[in-house]
Amino acid sequence: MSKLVLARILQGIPVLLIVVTATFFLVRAAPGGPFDAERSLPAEVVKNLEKRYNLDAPVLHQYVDYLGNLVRGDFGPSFRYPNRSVTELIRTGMPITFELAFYAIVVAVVVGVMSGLIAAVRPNSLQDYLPMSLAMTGICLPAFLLGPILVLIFGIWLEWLPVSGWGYSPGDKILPSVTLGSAYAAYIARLTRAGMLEVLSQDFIRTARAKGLSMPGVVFRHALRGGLAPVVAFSGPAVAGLLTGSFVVETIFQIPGLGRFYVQAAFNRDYTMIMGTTILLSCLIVILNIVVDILAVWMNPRLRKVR
Amino acid sequence: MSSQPILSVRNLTVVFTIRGQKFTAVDKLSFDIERGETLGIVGESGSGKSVSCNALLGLLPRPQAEITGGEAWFEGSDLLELSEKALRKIRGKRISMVFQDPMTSMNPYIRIGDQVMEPLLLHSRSTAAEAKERAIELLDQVGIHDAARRFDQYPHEFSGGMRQRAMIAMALITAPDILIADEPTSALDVTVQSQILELLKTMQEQRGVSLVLVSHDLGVVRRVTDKLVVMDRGVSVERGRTHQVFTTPAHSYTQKLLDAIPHTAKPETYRFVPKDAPVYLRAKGIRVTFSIKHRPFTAVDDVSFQVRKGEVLGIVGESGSGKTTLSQAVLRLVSMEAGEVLLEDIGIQKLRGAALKRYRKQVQMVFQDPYASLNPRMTVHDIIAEPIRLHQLAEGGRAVTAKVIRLMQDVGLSPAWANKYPHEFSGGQCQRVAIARAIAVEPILLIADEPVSALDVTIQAQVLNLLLELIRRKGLSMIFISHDLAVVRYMADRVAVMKDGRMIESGETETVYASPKERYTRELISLEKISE
Repeated sequence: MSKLVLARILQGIPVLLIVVTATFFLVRAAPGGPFDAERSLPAEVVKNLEKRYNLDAPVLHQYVDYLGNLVRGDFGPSFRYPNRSVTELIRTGMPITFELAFYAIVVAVVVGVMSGLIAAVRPNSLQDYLPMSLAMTGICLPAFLLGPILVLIFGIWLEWLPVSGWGYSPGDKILPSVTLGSAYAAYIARLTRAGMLEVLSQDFIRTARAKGLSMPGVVFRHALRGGLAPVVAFSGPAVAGLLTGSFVVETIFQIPGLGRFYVQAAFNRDYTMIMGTTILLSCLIVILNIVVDILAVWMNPRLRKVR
Repeated sequence: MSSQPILSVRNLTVVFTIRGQKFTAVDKLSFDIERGETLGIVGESGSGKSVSCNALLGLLPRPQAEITGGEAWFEGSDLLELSEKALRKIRGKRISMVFQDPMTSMNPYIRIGDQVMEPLLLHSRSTAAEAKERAIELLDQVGIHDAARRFDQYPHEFSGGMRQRAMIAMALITAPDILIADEPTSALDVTVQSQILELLKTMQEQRGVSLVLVSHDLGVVRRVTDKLVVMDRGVSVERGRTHQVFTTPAHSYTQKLLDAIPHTAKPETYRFVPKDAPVYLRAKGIRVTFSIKHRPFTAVDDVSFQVRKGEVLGIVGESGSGKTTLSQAVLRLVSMEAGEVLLEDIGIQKLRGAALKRYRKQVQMVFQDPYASLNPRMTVHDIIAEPIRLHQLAEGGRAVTAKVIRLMQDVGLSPAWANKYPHEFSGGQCQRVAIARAIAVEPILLIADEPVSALDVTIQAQVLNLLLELIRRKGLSMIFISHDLAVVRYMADRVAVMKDGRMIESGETETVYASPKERYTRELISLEKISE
């Protein structure tokens, strides 16, 4: 088992290196630079700035320097916020984005697994069609549409929940979490249903029923573990998607998270900031996928090595 | 034995609705079973024997299946009328089941021990510790050594026979009154089959359980049952004491079943006449190794044999004995580590391009599962025509079709069915299609790997006779692989016995049969004679 973990971590290193390299050269290949503004600066000022940020050196040289700094854990200074480092900026935004993503994944898993189970127990009945139609709607509705709709219903008409903000009043975390989590809840519902239907048609389910187990006993004791395997496999990419996809939700609800920094950095050609957030998120994706792979092995005794 | 039956089934009728079409799977089935008695329910696939058992415990698939009539009296209540809740108190406690395939019938995610003690925890007030103790005791009784340690293992760490033993322990742990065993040995090797039957019989005798044994295998039923019901397409055609039914079958279907498995030597007319027949295939010192989890595993070890023109070589062995790997080596589907295969004195290992294509044409294969080996999206015509086109054995669509029609007639299929798809055919008919496809390219050697194992007994004989007829008519040679000694004896001129990758004995079939040299061969033959 520890061998597997080590191997997977080692496999992650080249992936990250490729991501760093590709991002580094791509952002520099994009037209424009960090100091292009509507009002163009005097050439000398730009030259000074470029010298300060090491942008006048050859690109390859910059790349090697950047990698060197990266190994020491230094993401460099932000080009846009001159007095703050990228590390500082990430540190302010990250906890908020993580919290939002955490609530969203809780919503997604709880709602998704429950409705998938309900649907799978009685396939092709109302109990199946209702949650599955809802799930289809959830998948089709993008966050920028669902968010405002929820705000309209629960914030403006019913006045139950605040329409924006993060951490100012107790209820203001609900709408963003639901908005972000719903599409994933829908996917998880469909995956749960498919996984459970597959497992429930297996011979060992008949054995379990022949033992005298009730339907809930059969579902929870015998079917759930196998039935959730596809959900577990999906949850790695899903969490990554939640983290990177939180930008829209953060904008709608005025949340000062990482997503907004990320997009602004891309618009501003804030090279170091783009690099910093990209590396952070790719690290997370790599780690989450490793976690999910290990989880899948741990859940299935047949994959576990007998030492 | 008490005179009052413990379970009394009267006129059980089950109707299935599939795509709006109703068909009667079980039609007015009646039987009684007394305490401590063993009842056999025999029939071919689709005869309704498993459906009847599942119906008794309310385990039929809903809503496709419906019990439309009959009653099943067990301790003063009609099982068919009981609510789901009341039935749950009977399932696994008073009436337990053992299913066919222990590989798929046990939950792969749960430890063996936890599965074995589950019924006890469910139906009694035992604590987990008591249940565990009882489970270990029972696992030990069903012949699992070191039960306390194996308690914590998962099903995939058990062999097929051990899993079936654990299933039996699981079924017996609540001390039920009736044990229903649905094809309990069909998925197992012959020597293991025999052990499991012994075990069922001992357990039943020790505990006074009534045993309902469902099987397609007459040999199995004959060995252990007191009385039996013969089922054909949902109807029970014959009932009676077992020995009576076997000695004087009253119904023509029972007679047909009894006649189906040929327990005889190869028919004279089909025997191979060795007079100056050239050797077609010569295999010398074949050795195939695989690496399983980085450990080398020798699947075939130093095997040599030869096949002459018109001869049938039978290869017998249990699963894992290397017989299929051997055939794959001959077909060059796996690479050999050592040894060589010569077809008409030409080594096959170095064949390339056109020569390899010619070899692939000369040696053809018939597989076990006729459904799985035919492309479901192609018509029978296209399936048979494909190799003809590939090897350019006929020019133009009309000539190809003419050849397909001739081949279909050769294997006893009506050419009118040429445009049907495989799923529209029965298993036996599909195997005929597979044979037609194999002989379409005019091979000189057929390799048949368990060609009749997936078929019903009455169909088996037809396919075997077809193969014998084709071999004689077309002057083919054949390597016939099977786990079933009776079938090999009927088919083969010479037989080779394989065990653990080695060919331990070979010779003229009747000579080996009459005086086997190896202990293992003797064991196989004695097991086969019991079911004769």
